[in-house]
Amino acid sequence: MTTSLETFKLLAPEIALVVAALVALLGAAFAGLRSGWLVALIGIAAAMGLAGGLPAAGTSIISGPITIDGFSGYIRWTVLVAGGILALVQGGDLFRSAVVRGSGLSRGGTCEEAGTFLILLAGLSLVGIANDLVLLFIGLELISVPTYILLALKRTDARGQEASLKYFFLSLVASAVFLYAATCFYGLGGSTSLAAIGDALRSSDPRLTGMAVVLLPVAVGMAMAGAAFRMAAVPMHFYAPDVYEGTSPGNAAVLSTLPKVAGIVVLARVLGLAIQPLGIAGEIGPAAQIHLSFLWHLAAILAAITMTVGNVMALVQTNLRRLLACSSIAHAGYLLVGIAVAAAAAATRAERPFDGAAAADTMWTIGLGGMSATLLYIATYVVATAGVFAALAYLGHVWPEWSSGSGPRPPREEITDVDDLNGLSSTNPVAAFSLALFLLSLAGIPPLPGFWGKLTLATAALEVDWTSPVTFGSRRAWFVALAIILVLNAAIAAAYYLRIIAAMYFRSTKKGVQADGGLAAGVGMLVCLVLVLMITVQPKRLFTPAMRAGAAASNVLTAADEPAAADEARLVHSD
Amino acid sequence: MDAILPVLLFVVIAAAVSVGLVVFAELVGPKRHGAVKEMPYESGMDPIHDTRRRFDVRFHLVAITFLVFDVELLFLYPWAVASRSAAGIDAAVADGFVSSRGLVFMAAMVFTAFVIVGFAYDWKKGVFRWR
Repeated sequence: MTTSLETFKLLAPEIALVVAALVALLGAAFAGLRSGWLVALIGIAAAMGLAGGLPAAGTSIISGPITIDGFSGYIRWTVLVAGGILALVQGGDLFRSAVVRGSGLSRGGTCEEAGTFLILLAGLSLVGIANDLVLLFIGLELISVPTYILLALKRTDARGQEASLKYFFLSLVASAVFLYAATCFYGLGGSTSLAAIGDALRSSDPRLTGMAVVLLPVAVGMAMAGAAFRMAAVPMHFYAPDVYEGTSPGNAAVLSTLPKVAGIVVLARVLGLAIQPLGIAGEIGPAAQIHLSFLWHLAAILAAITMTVGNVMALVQTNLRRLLACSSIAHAGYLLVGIAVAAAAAATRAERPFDGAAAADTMWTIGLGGMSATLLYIATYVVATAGVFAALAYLGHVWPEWSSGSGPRPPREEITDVDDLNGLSSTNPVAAFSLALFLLSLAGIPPLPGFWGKLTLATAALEVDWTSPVTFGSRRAWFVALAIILVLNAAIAAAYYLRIIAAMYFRSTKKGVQADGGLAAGVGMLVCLVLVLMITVQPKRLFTPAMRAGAAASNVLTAADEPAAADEARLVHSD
Repeated sequence: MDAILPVLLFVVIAAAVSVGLVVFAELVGPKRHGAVKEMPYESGMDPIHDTRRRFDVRFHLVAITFLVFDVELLFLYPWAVASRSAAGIDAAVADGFVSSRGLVFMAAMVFTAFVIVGFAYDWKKGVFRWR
């Protein structure tokens, strides 16, 4: 483990994001820069260019505290694409303010928002490549702290204040809880490096096993709690409706997508501790088996509760953003199914190690596997959710000036209730069609992306331990039950998504929709529409990277058509 | 035992000093009682009031500016000590944790630059003008 100049070269996309953030922040202070979101888009584009120049997926590089492999590459690209869309949504009036100077359309404070948002993106990208507890925690804080600022900048009334404070305090508690998990893992592994902790955990040292029986459930439970807050999963879900309702659509879009990715990465890293690296034979020790068993039981139970709670809560909501918050809770549950499946599959593999052709039927499954299914699902979820919020931002109104000036604030004219969308199909057919498509994708209607996500999750759950009989309490029975709960929940979810679509297409209204949220938000909506249609037409283009990424995260051989199996680990040395 | 003796001694002395000071103050200090005297001390403000009260934003600005310099010192001290000590950066380079001394210097400079950016931003935004 060497920190060298090479390590910094591998971090080029994150460095580009931070430099763009500094340009936006200092430009606002020193040069009177007003169009911060334009700087943000340029920075994200530069980061994409630099990320494209890095080694392709299929290689895996460990350099100091970071790992560049299929998994981190997938997370990085998800983050950058989502970041581009969210920057468009946030900077609704970005094009007008860039062209017409001092027209009164350009809001002050956009540069501060754009700068903090870029730092958030850099933090999330760091979480994806972190191979060290300290870097992981710093990355998570680089997500949390800018989120507080973004929420606080968008407070115009008591509800906005409540949203920013509620999120601030709960997030602090969640960070502390995750830090406690990190100290437990450090205590068990004697190192902050995730690779070293994993090696210690998988060894069958009897002293460690004795300690692990006590400490591991605490550590895994705490890490799960920290991740659950970021994913808005039960039991840390209750803040979501209040916070989403109190803040702007752009911020709600950020909150419902980016922290969820971070939560998934944390859980994937925690899960990865107990999985033997590729090419190393031998069984894992009892400590790692406790780890896997506890993780999949916990994730499966939380997944079942989260899905059901989220969907049932969403059924009774009339406020659109509260409804979407509840739906995002439900989606956190679907994502947890994938984590539970990945952990249970790893436990199965550990019990019955690979021994040639006979094992081929039992272990190497036809589906994507839990981790890949989770990663596929998160990408489809992020695109559809960002699209929904982009549409809401576009149909609403440009957010008023944030600074505490003396003049009266313009009223917030937002799309708040489901009824506000009545008759949208006649007043704004493009927005209505896009919104309908995003909602159908979230509901999981074939052949939209969300369907592929749910299909892979359900098949992955059914493939866990699939040669054993379904007896009460067996691992297979757990996951058959989980798959059934998932499918039932998808049916419940369809009810409230279709209610919104029905309002847009089958009801009429007297007042028109103003669609004054800025051109950029509309462009963001169209970008999401194009992405959804692309995944619908060619799902393989998302399947292949997701499969590679999941394989890299859970060290499984896959039947991918490209030579992901021949992953060669390359250690970068100093020059 | 030898290893923890200094720690034990430290704990004992710390406890003795703090208890001693309280007892000493109780013995020789003047004793005046009253509603104001018995109020908990909170930087000269009334400690019990509505939490949604307006609050001068300069308190927060001072706190955050303090943090800029506080964090800077927190990181620069260990770096300064490590760069002069034989068991510091040189040992880390020899053990292969870091590829070169120059890299550590670069990292410290980048960190300082970040802090200076924060300082410059504060300055330009008028945090140091005590209006």
